[in-house]
Amino acid sequence: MTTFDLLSDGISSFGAMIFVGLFLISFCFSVHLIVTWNPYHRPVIPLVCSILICIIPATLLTMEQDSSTSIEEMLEVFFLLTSLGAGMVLLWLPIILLFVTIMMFSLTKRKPSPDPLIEMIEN
Amino acid sequence: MVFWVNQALLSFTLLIAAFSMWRMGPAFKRSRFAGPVALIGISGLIFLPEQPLYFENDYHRCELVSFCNDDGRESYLNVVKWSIISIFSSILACFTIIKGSSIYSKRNPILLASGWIVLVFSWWTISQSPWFLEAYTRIDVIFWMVAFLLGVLASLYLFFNIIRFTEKLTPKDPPITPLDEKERRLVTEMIRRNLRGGV
Repeated sequence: MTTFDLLSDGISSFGAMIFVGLFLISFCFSVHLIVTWNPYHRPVIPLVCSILICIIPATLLTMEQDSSTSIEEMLEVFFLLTSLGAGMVLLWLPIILLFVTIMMFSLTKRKPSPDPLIEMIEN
Repeated sequence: MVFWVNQALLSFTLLIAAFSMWRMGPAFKRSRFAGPVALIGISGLIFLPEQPLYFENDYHRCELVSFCNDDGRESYLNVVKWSIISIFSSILACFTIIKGSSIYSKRNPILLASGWIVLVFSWWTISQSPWFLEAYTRIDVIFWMVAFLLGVLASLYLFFNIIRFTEKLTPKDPPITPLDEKERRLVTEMIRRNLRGGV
């Protein structure tokens, strides 16, 4: 089985990884705001901020080599950053699953309460 | 020809969109589209187009980009497939165990046992993924995982403040005038009837 090198293209420093986390959440947030668009939520300011957080650094990254940018290059940078972010989320998966397994274990051992309402009040 | 990187990015975006549609209101009917959109997203991630051939436009572009080669595509597909199997099996296992436990209904040992089998299977899929072992034995990758988490927390803090700022800009409603005598009697009567079971 081949391995996927998450840390390609020189994006491997501590600060860059903080930025990848910032980028991934901003990307997800902007998609979320667009998909669940509702004027009563007043989404314009958060949406503009999240799009700016995504686009400005991506544009700067594409302009780094030849001071020019294109949609193709932007999409490639977006792909690289989202893949790195998703890869980092995946690396946390075993730790998350460990907590979930402990919770499932306590659920399995749990005995049915004779009075759920009293138990809820006591807890 | 669709460049596989663009398709992967679009499919990932569709998956996020599907998750948002599934969980969020206020137009609850939107959630009907979540399943099909998620299916399109997953299919797009799994069935990536082949690498461009030498006479196609994207071929030269692909020579310049380091992740756009046969190894990069194969590795990406491998990670996506194993991750989908691990995530889906763990979600299925959790649902089955919760359903089989005594939280909402009577305890069902068969459901519980099958849930645990699926959970063990998801742990097995994780153990079969070499990148986890490789990552957890490298201190630099552990640091990057922590840095990524800090980035996520920083962005959540940032968006929390942005949303709070937006809410502060929202014009406040004028204070409501107190109930007059007629309204007060009406409300009292409604509460009295409800407490007495509609008598």
